[in-house]
Amino acid sequence: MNERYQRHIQLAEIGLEGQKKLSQARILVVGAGGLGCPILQYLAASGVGHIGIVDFDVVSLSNLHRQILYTDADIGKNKALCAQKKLQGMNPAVSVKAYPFRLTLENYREILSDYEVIMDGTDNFQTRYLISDACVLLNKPMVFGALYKFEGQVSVFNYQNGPTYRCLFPKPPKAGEVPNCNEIGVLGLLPGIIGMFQAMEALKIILNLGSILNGKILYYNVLEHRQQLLSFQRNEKEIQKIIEAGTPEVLEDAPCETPILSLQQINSPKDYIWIDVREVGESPKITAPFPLIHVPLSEREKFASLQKETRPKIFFCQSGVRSQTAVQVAQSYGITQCYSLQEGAETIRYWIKKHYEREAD
Amino acid sequence: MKITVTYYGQLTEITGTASETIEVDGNSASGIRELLNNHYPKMKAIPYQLAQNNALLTEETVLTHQNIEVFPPFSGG
Repeated sequence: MNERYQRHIQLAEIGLEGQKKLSQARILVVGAGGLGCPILQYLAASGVGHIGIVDFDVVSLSNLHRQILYTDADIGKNKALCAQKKLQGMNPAVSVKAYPFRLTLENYREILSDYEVIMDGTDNFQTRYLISDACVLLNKPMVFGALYKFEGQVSVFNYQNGPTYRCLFPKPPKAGEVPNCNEIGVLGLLPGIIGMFQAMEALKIILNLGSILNGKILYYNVLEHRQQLLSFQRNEKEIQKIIEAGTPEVLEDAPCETPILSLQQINSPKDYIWIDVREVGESPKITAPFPLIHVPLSEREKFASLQKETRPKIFFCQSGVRSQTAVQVAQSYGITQCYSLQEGAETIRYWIKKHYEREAD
Repeated sequence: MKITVTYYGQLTEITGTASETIEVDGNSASGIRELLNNHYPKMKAIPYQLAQNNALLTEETVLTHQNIEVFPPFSGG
C-alpha cells in the first residue's frame, strides 16, 4: 500500500500511521449525486478503507454534467451500485458497500451504526434532518454540504459535542419554498467544490488534522469568491428533544404524511389524471394512453389550474421525491385527492408498456 | 439605527438585491426579523438566520454591528 499513498505518507502530518488510520476508517456517504460523487472519488483515492454508499435513485442524463462518476452507459442504473463498481475499479484496496435504497426511519440505525463518519450528500430537507437527528442519537459526526445555484454551505455537525443541523435551522422551510438543483439548476462545478470541502473535513476528522468546521458554517459564493465563516452555538433544547424522543423527528412534510400510491395499487390508470412534475428535458419521456399532463415543479403556480379537476391526481417524477413536494404544494392550493407515486419515471415507462401489452392480449 | 443587510442564496431573489441599508427601531435581532418579514412577506416561509461579526444571532442578541448578514438554508446536493 505504501507506494500508492507515498505522497500522503511523505507528509509528516499524515505519515504511515495516518495512512493506516485512513485504511481502517469507515465512512458512509448518503446520496451519490452532485456532492456524493466527488466525496466518494476522493475518499476512495485517499485510501479510506471502508466506504458505504446509500442511494435509491437511478442515473439520468441531466445528472451527468455534475455527477462525474457516471457515464451515458449508466443511465437508468442505480447510483449506489454504479458508484460502487467505479470506486472498486479506481482503488481495489478499498472495500465499498452499496445500499441501493432510501435511508428511512426504519433502516437508519442499522446502516449508520457501521460507520464512524456520516457524509450528507442529499438533495432534500427530509433526509438531511433525518441524518442530523440520527447522528445525535447514534453519536456520529455528520459532514454537511448543501447548494443553491452558485453558492454552497459546508459544516460538521455533532462533532465532539458540537451543534447539529437543528441548532442552525431548528425547523425546515415550508414544503417547496427552498428549491433544489433539479428544479432551479446548478452550476456543475459547484457540487464538485463543496463535495471536496466535505471530503477534506472527513479526512481531517480521521487524521485529527487542523481545525474542524465544528460549530462553524462556511458559506461560499463561487461567482464572487465571497466566503463567510460563521460560528453558531449548540441549541440544547433542540438536541434534548431528539434524545428524549429516541427517534429522529418526522418532518411535517415527511414521506409518510404524503398520500403515496404504488403502481401495483392502480388498476385503471385512466380514472386518474397523471401529472409529470419533472423539468423540461428530463428522460425518459413518458407518453401514455391515459390522461397525462406535464407541469414542472419549478412552475408550481400552474398547479392551481388543477383546482377544477375532479379526478384523483397522481404526481410523479424521476424517483418519487419531488412528487411528494408537488403533492404538498398542490394541497396548499386546496387541491384534493392528490397522490405521490412511489415509483420513478423509468419504472413507470416499463409499467405502461407491460400494462397495455396485457390489455391488448 | 441604520444597518446594512447582506442577503445570501434565494433571499437575494426575494429581496431583489444583494445588500441594502434599512432603518430599524431598537437594537434586537427580532426587530430586524419583524421588519424583513413585513417588508418581504415571502421571507416568512424561509427559516433564515441573522449574523453579525461572523457569528449567528439568537433572537435576544443585541445588535452591536451595523453590518448584518441574512442566511437561508440550502437544499441542493
